[in-house]
Amino acid sequence: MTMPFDALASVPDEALLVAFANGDRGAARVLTERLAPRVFGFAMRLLANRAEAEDVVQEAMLRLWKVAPDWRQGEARITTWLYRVVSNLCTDRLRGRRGVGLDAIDEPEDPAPSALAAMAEAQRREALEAALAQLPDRQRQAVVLRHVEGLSNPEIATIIGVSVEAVESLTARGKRALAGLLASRREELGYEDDD
Amino acid sequence: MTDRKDRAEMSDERIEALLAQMADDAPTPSVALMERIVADAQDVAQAREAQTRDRQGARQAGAGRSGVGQAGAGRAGLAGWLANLLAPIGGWPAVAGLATATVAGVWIGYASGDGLTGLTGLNGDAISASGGAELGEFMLSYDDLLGEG
Repeated sequence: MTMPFDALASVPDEALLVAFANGDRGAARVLTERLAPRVFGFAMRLLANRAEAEDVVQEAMLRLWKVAPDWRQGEARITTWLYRVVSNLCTDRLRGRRGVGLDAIDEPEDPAPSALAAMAEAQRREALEAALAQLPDRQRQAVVLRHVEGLSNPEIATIIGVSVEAVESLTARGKRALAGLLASRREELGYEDDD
Repeated sequence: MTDRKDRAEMSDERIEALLAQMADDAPTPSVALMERIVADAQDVAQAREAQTRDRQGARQAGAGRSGVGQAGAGRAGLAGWLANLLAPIGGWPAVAGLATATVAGVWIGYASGDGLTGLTGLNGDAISASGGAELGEFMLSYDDLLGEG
């Protein structure tokens, strides 16, 4: 049984996954469009490398397709599960990178030409991304999941595999570290002109 | 100058605001990646369906094929019929899970009977003189195991 494509838009993630497990191919496309961009953004924040982020997301989604028949409804949210898989895959890759240095990180894209404001904005973005890349893995994950992905502390705790208290500590330390890293570039980045 | 020193480090709120801006700039996956992911889903679904078909086929073939002796020539059609009968309850493996005592009872029935040469029992005729092979009348696979018929 296959549901019409547009009717799938309001169906919850779990129901779509069950439908896919029962042979509904359209459900997989809807899930991909919902979930892949979200976890791709997350992977990019952690890895700062588009090719690696794409590999991680493809692998994570493949695991989702394979686990579909065994998915037990009500036990966990699919997004939480997927974030966790992506988090683990990214951690594996980052461990493999030790000693490689910043070479694995993509060159920041050129800022939009002409407008000074746009250039300044791009420079700040690049500075923030570079600072994030320097954080310890778990601090970076916690900070990104909380303040970029907008997830709750309990959910982050499930994804990273630590206590809620540990998440709070990680985000606090991560933000302090970012503040310290960006402080040295404040003048260059023009932060003092704001506030 | 004092202001600059006071603001030597950026506030938490400032950092959070910068991170929130990052959320607005979310990098998007390429169309190629999205298509690869969907293609993977199709492959997984196809593999799963093929596996299900193979299992069902093996079950049906197993019900008509002996693990020990050789199936008689006239059995093929009936074996298929029995396999279809057993499939809803899990096929041969489910029925093979019957208590050992039942199997012993079948053996005793066979041992004391005239033996089977065909499935006349299904037409209503008596299968064995002792009448103790009621399970064997319906379980062709047991028949294969119990004798060379």
